[in-house]
Amino acid sequence: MSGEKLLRAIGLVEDDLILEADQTPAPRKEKTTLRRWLPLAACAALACLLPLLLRAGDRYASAAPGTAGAEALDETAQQNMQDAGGGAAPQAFALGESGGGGFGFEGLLEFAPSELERGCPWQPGDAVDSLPVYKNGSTLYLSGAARFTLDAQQMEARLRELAAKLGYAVEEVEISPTESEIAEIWEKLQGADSLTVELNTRPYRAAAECGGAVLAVDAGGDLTVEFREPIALPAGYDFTADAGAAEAGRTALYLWSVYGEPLGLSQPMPRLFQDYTYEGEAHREFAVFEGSGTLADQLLQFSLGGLTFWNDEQGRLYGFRLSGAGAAGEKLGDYPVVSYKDAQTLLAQGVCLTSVTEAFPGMEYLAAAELVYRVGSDTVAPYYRFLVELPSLERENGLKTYGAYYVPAVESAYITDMPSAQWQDAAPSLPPQ
Amino acid sequence: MLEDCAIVELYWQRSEEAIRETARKYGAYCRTIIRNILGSHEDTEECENDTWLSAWNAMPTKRPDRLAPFLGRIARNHALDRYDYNTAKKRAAPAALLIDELAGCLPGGQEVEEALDERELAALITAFLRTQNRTARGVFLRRYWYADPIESIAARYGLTEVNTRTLLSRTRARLRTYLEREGVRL
Repeated sequence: MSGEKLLRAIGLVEDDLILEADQTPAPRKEKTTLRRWLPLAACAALACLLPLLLRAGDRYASAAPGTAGAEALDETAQQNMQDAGGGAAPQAFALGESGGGGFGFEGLLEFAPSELERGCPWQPGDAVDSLPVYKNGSTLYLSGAARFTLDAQQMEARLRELAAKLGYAVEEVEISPTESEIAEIWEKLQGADSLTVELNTRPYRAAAECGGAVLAVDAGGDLTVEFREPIALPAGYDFTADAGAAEAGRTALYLWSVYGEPLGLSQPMPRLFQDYTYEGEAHREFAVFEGSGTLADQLLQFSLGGLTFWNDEQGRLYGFRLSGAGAAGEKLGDYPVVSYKDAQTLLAQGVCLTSVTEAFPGMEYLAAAELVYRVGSDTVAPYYRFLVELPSLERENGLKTYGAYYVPAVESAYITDMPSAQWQDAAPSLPPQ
Repeated sequence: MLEDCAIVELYWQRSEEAIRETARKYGAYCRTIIRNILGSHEDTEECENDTWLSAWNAMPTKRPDRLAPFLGRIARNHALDRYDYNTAKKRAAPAALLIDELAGCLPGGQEVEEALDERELAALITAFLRTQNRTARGVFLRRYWYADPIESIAARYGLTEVNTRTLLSRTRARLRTYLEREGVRL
């Protein structure tokens, strides 16, 4: 018997004990397990690592219901509706998002707000009048869990195309699930409904062995390359979790020059996300995204695209993933966008999507902000993503927890399922004047 | 947010809303377990997707009373499967530490072919845990079922990290004695 067998057997311990362990009251306020997950959008401009720290002195207008601020917002929205597109206003759309909640939340562990900087193409202070909203381009989308856009032929074609760009010769391509796997699935699913059959038998990957690597394209269009033997980088490139932001940027750009340029990324912007474990061990991402095109193009790539390089413990490259913004389908239109100031007002009222279960600590804890795109069931739409320090969750080793809050960037008049105010009763904390 | 029974009913009705509601209520929960085991961002998304598909396939015929342990178990298994794959590629993960810790629970310290299957072993472990006080039981499961880091467990139970490690070590030693007494052979 091995330790792993014991670990797996523990998984079968009876439910009541599992639930008891999850419901044990914590001595501190936090009742849920913190999770830290890397958003798809994170980057830093190497040349200009401007901090995204919002100072407590930032001003915003109170727009509690019934106030002059709220009325001003409504008037502005109406004006924008008339001005938008130079003619008929674009149609309202649904975000198709629920924001989360329940067990755990989206949070980041950092020692200082400056570590939240990601190099978003937009920065507070940049005026944005409108941004496009796209239809979700997936042919089958299940609450972000599964996204099918390409069929088997399309996956294989994309695999061959990208492999050729990287200099790999592709002979045989295996489509998953294979014929024998499908036969087994059919046998298991006799009598099942059509959606179940489709989910289980729909091609989800095309892969090929190419010399010392396995290349694969999934149904969402993403390419992964895994090397049989990890590759050491030339001396001078730090590819470890301890790499500083500048070093990580250099390394990411070097790797782009080897793998990204052949794949057609022309203007790489480094993405240098870093966070920590509870014990303070650093985790760093090495990635670049396409920085060409309009602000909207950049934001889409920043949020949903990118070339992410995978390092092992010895700082060697064992693979990478090329993510596209394939979820963004047909453009629905260009929609007027609320100002950053107004977005802060909405945040102060709790008009946002968030999975944070801690009480909102107040606007004075606002630490960073960016504009990102999120994929909803119907649309791919822009949001202001605010990172707010949760002071009750500061750890003894100095690590601070920052919760993520998403305020729809498009004016509410165009959104059919706008989030409602969650902490409406709490008076917004005004920053020092 | 829907109650578990309502979400399970959506699965039985083969409604796509089932996965949406599951991801909404348990997405973060499952991701935490997966990340605790794998420690890797890219693997987390893949395991999460596998978890939802497995849940969809399992219901019907299953009708769990509580979704948290049901889904957590699925997520945990996918993460451990992924861990096995990554281990072959020599990619470290937090699960390696858990396995090393549990290796000390094995009676006799040897590895031989084991006739005891996982379910039988799980029944013994369950019975053992019921003999422990609530804190020891909870700390053990937070570490080896939820794969929580030591610091997180210490914070949850108001212990120091040293005390947490000591408590875990003692519980593992008692488990070893229990398994030996029950005749779990190596």
